[in-house]
Amino acid sequence: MVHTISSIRTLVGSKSAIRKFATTPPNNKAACSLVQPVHHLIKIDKSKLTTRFDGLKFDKDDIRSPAYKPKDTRQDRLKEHYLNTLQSDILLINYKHNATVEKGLKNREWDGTSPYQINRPMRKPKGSNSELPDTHPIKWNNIPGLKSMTLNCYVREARDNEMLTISAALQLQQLTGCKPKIIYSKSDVPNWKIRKGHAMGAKVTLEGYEMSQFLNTLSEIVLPRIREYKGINMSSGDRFGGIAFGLDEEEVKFFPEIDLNQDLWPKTFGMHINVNTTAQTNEQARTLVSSLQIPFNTENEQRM
Amino acid sequence: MLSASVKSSQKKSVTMMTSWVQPLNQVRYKRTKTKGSSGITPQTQRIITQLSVMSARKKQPKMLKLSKEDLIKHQTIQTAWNTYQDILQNERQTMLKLQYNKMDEAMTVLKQVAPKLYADANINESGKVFPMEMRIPTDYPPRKLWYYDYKK
Amino acid sequence: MSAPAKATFRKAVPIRANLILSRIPLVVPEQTKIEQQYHDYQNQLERRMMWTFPAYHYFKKGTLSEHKFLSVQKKPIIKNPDVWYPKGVPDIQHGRERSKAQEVILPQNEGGEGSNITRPVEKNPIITTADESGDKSSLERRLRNTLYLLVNYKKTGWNFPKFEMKDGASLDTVAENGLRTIGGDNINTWTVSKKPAGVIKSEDGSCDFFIKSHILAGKFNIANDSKNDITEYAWLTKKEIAEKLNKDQFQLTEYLLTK
Repeated sequence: MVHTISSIRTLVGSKSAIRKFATTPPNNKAACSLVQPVHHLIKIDKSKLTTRFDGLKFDKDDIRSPAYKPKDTRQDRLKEHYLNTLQSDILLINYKHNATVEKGLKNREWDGTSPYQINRPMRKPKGSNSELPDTHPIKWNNIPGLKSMTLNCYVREARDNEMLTISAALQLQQLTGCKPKIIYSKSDVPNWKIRKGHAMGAKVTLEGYEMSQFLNTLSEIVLPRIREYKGINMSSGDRFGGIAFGLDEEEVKFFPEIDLNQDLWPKTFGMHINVNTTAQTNEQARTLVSSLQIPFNTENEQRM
Repeated sequence: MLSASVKSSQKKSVTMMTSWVQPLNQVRYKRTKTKGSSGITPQTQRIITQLSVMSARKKQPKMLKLSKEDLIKHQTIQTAWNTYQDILQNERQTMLKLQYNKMDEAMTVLKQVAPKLYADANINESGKVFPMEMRIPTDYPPRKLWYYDYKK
Repeated sequence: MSAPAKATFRKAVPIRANLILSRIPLVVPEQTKIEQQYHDYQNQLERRMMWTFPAYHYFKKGTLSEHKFLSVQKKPIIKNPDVWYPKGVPDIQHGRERSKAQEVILPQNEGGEGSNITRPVEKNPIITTADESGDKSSLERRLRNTLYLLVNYKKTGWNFPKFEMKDGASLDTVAENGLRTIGGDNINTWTVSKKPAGVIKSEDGSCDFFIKSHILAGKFNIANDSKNDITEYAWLTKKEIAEKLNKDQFQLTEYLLTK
């Protein structure tokens, strides 16, 4: 195959800049080139260059692709409820008159008192290791909504018996109907007798109808059956719109998929449930998640 | 050491000779255990079944091969659906924008008319929790439609 | 500079708090024709692309339940080299024809007991007795729609319940307490927010602010004290409200109502 320069440019994408010659900036900075070598910056998707695997070049939402999965296979009552009722309520709750953008912590300039500060990377923000995003006022186009859910099943006993991860993965598959992934330990932890690269559990990410379905089962069947369930901790949240809570191995047994096949499940596994939302703060995420019938532990808040 | 090994090799050759001379009277019965599974415990068998439930092996259907006409049909349906979803989304967005503008207007008017009521209303309510009684609509009507016997 | 001075001289504007009390739908909205057809199409595609059902996981080999399950399954057509198949040669794996959607049939227990989970689902009717009798004061009507409370004032006719402001109380407390005075205490509501969702400025200078709230349980019953002012009440959908209110007033409140 012969590629013209223009066709290579389309392959490479808009990121490709024509490389300039190294020059010294005019404002008396150190005389070294800051232009990074171009060939390290550009990623070329080589599978696009050959004609041998044309069938694999389709997008995942194209019916000709082997990875095609039909979406919107039935009415999603959770989504309908969110769009019909909850969205405008959440807008009204989060509305604040004359609200402005709240700047997150940003990197700081050096004060320029020392010549060594020239070309140094900017100072880290006060009280944080990295920059934090701005908080925009909630308007009609950024109302908090559900993005995805991740169920994460870490099995501590798997360090002695790796087979347990297979059971954990199957449990996730049975509860969600999606294909789980095995997770591996990232590093050696001698205190916990964990070695790097050892299978330690399973996880699955849900989106769309599967997510709604799982949330409905959770809020309508599982959580009401847990005795003296207090609700999610009010302090749960990762500051950027994620909320996490857990179910232990006894509570997982209340899922109908396991409850009705108890002889298949002599051992069940607890799991962490992470709800990822488009909310910008913990509070906004809490409002959203509580509107989906997930209880929160409000007792302590009222006492305070 | 050396003599011992020589002796054993001699013995072997003798037994081989005899087996070759004598008629073969050994009977091979039908294999009752499969080759690999002799040492498999029920626990391992369970794990194998679990793995096979999750794996795609022998379970995947044939890939869809649409004719040109069917492909165009499918793409038309998909485009129509996407357009329909866009229309719905636009409708929702204009409605929400209108609602936002109206609540903005209401608060501005309230600020002019009654500053005290405005101060009461414009508090930060983010983090408010929805009540558990506000249920998600179901696909079909419930047995008991409404709870009337609420007592304060 | 001059604003506070003005404020002291300004005549107090009459303010009213209106309550938009809604009963959220109990059943999902009806699908349009295009939605129904598209979902049906996608559902068929999904079934065609589904992996084979691993029955060996759910039914142990050699058990009665396995036998029951297998006996009700339809057998696929087996490949025979001497036969010509006009619709393609069968390709069977794990008892499933690979070019078709798999149909899994659950065995039904004969004596249909209530505890049997495989029994067919009996759907309750979507049209209730209140719908049939046309009882508009019932909360059990129009299960697919959001219903809003409208009251019929003797002087002004049908409208959302409205309440005069009292000193010191905020908009939402006036609206909620007012609802209890005209409708009795046995009603559980949840105010969405303290902020008004809208305003109508009348020509005489008075302002009507709208507070949103949801009814969760209980019943609205006109209290004896307010029977002189209010003749009746109704739970209405957006369409029905358009008929009850006059045109201008409906246009001013339309954006607050959902289908």
